[in-house]
Amino acid sequence: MKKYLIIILALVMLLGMIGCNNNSDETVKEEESTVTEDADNGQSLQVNEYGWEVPEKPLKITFYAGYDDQAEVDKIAEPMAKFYKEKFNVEIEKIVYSIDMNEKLNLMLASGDYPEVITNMDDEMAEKFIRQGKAIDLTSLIEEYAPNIKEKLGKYMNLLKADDGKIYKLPRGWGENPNVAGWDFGVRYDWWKEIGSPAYKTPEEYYQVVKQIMDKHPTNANGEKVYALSDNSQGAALYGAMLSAYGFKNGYKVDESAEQFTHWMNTPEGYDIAKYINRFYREGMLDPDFLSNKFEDWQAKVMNERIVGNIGTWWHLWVAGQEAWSQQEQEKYNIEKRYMNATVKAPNVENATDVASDFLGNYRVIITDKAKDPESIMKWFNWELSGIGTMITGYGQPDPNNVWDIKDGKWMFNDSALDYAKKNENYHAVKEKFGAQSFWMVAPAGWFKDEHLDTRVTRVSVYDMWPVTSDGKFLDEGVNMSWANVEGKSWDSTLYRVTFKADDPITNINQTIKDSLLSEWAKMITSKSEAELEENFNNSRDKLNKLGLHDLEEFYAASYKANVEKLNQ
Amino acid sequence: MQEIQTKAASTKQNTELLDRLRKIRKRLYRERELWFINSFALAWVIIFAYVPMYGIIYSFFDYFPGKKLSESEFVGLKYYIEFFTLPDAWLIIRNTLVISGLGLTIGFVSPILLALFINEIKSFKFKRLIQTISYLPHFVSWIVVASIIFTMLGSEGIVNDVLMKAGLINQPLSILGEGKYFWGLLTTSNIWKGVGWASIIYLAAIAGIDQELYQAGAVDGLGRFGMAWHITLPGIRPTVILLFILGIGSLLNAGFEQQLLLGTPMTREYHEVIDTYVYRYGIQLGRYSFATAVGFMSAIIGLALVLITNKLSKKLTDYSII
Repeated sequence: MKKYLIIILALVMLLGMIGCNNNSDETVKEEESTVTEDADNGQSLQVNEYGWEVPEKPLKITFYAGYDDQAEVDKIAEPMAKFYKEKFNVEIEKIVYSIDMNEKLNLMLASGDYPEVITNMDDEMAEKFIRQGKAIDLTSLIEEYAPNIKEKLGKYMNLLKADDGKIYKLPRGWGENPNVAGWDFGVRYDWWKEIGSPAYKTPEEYYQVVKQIMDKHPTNANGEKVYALSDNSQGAALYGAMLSAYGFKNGYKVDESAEQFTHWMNTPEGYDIAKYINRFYREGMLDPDFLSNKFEDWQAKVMNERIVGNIGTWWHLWVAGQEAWSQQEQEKYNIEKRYMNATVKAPNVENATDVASDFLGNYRVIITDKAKDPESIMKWFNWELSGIGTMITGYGQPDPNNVWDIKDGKWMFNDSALDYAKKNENYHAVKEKFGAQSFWMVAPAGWFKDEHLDTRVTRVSVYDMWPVTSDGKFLDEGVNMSWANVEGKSWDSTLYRVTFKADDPITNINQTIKDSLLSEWAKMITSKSEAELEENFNNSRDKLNKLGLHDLEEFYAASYKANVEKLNQ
Repeated sequence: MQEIQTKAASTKQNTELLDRLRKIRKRLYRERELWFINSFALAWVIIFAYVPMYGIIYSFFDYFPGKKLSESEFVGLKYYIEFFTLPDAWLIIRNTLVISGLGLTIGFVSPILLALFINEIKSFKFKRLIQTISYLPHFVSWIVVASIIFTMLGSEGIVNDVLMKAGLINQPLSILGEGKYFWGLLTTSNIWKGVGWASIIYLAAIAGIDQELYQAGAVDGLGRFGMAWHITLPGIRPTVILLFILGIGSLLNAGFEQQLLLGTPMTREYHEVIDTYVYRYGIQLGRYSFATAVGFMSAIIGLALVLITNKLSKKLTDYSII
C-alpha cells in the first residue's frame, strides 16, 4: 500500500512539474507581450510578441485576391489562419475565383457584391472603384493608424493621391528591386564559354555571338535544329528588350526637358529594331513558330537544348532553363548549363533601360465601402508593413521548422534558406506548411531591410525569397554567374506609370494600338526582304498614327507631367 | 334607342369574351398534364431568356460598372454607331461573315453527307464504329483541339513533315502563322469537331423515312446513289431546311474560343470577329454598354435573317419554321 502511495505521489509531482514547465513557457512568452491602453475606449489591449495589439473581439477581414482555386487556397491558408486566430485574434477570409480578375471585378462593381478589401488589382481597376465611390478615403486613417505606411511609402504617397488630394488606394507588392535583371539578352552560358566567352555589349555583338554558337551547335543531341532565338510572347518581348537596348522608357523615347514622348514606331530607332530582328528571321536563325509558341512549347525547346539565346525577359529563361534542368537532372546537374544575361546597349545610347524599378509596382489594394471596421483594417495594414509583419506575411510564422525563426530578438534564417539548391523546395514548403503569403494584402515585394534581420543577409525579398549577402551578392553561385554581366543600373520608372480609365476614349485607342502593333510587328519582322520590311514598317507606322498613336504620345507626356507635379506637391 | 343599341353591343362583346375565356379555361384543364410538363421549360425560358432582356436598356446609356443606371447619361444609339465607326469595323464584319458563311455552306453540308454515307453502310458493327468515332471530337474541348492543331501544323508538325518528305515543299509552311490559311483551318477544324455530332439529327430523320419508298425505288430500278438522291434527300428536306433557317440566325456568331485559341498576331486580320472583339473591348475593359449594343445588334440582325429566310423558304419550298 505504501509502495502504491509513493508511486502515486511521484506521478502527481511529475505531472505537476510538467504542468509548471508548460506554464513557465507561457510565462516567458507572456513576458514578451506588453499591455497597452486603447486610447479610444480605455480598454487594456495586449500587444503580442509580434507587435500586434490583440483586440478583445476577433477582428474579421474578408478580402478578394484574384484568380485561384478556392478549395486549394483554403487548404494552403489553414496554418496561417490558425496562427492569426490564436496569436492575433484576427480572422481573415480570403476569396478567390477561377475567372479573370478584371472580369470578376467588373461584375462585382456592376452587382455591388464585393468584399471589404480588394487586393492584387491593377491600377485601372482600383481607379474604377474609386471613381464609383466604392473605395473609402484612407487619408485620415493612414494619418491616425498607419505610421508604417507613411514612413515606408515616403514621398511616393503623393503619387497615390486622387485629384481631390485624398488617398483611396495603396500599393501591394511594392518597393525597390534594383538588382534583379529585367529585359534580357541571354545566351547559353556553357556554349558561350566554349567559343571563348566573347563579351557582347551591343546588339551587333550579341548577334555575332549567337550566330557563332548556332554555327557550332546546328542541331541538338536528337538531331533537331537549334535556333538562335525563339519567343513565347507573340513577338512582343522581342521589341520590348530591343527598346531597352536603345534606352526607351516603357516603349517611348523621352525628352524629359521638353516633356515630349515619342512612340518607338515614330522614331528611326524603331526601324533599326525591326531590321535587326528581321535579320534573324531572314537568315533562318529565328524559330519559325516564334509567333505561335505557348510558354510550354517554348520551354520544351529550351529544355531540349534547341535555343541559343533570348531577347525578352530574363525569368523566362531562368524558369525554362537552369531551374528546370537542375530539377530534372538533380545531382548530375552542371551549374554551368544555364543561361547568362547581359546588359546590351546600342551604340551612341547613353543608358540602357533593361532594369526598371517601379516603386509602387503593378498592384493595388483598396478598402471598400463594405468594410465594417475600416480603422481596424488600417491597423492591420500598418502591422503588415511593420518589419515583423512583412516577415510573417511573406515567410509564415517564425518556427524552428520554418526557414526562419526568432532567436534573441533576431530573425534568423536556417541554413537551407541560404542554400540556393533548396530555394524552390523552400519556396513551396513555406506556403504548404505555414500558409505563407496567403493573406498578403499590402506588404512590399521589393528588397526589405530591417535591423532585426539575420546578419548573414542584409536584405531579402519576401516575394521570391532570394536572400543576398551583405555586399549585395546573391547567396548562390549560379545566380551570380548568370547576372555577372548585367550592369544593374536600374532607372526609376515610377513616374512613367500611366493609368487608363474605363470611360476615357484614350483607353480604347490604347487597346486598339496595342493589338494592331502586335500584328503589324509580326508582319514587319517576317518580311522577306529589306525593301519589303521598309514598306511594311512605313505602312504600319502610318496605320498606327491613323489609329491615334500621336494622341497616345500626348497622353503619356501629360501623365508623366502630372506625376512629376504630384510627387513634388 | 342608340343607347340601347350600344348596351346590346357591349353585352354581346362581353358574352363573346366570357365565352372565349371559358374555352381557354376548358382547354387548359383538358391539357393540364401537358401544361404541367411544359411549365418547367416555360419558366426556364421566361427566367433565363426573357427577364435578362431588360439589360438591353444599358446599351442606350453611358453605363459603367458600379454606376447606377439612373445616374448614367442617356446616349441613344451612340454605342451602335461606335461599332460601325471603328477603324477595324469592316474587317471584323468581313471575318465574321466569311467564317460563318463557310460554316453555313461547307460546314452545313458535311454532316448531311456523313449521314448519307453512314446510312449506306450495310454492316451494323462497322456503322456503329464509324458513328462513335465521328462523335468523339465533339467531346474534346477547344483547348485540347487547339493544342493538337498546333502540334500537327507547326513548322515541325506531322503535316509539314509529310509534305516535305513527299517533296511537295522545300521549306515548312507557316500554316498557323499566315492569315491566308486561317479561314480554311478554322472551317476544317470546326467540321472535324462537329460533323459527327451534327449528323445525328439527319440520321434520325433518315431513320424516319418509310422503307417502302426504297423498295418501290428498287423496283423502279434506282441504284444506291439514285435512292439517296431521290428518296433519302427529299425525305430529310424538312429537317435540312429547319436547321438551315436556324443556322442563318447565327450568321453573326462566328465562334469565339476557336479564334482566341488558334489566332496569332499574324492572323489577326483574318481571325478577329464580332464576338472576340466584344469580349476584349467590351467585357474585359468593363464597357458593358458597348458590349450590350453589339450583342443586341447581332441578335436583331440574326432574327431578321431568320425571318427573311423563313419567308423565302415558305415561298420556294413550302417549308417553314413559323
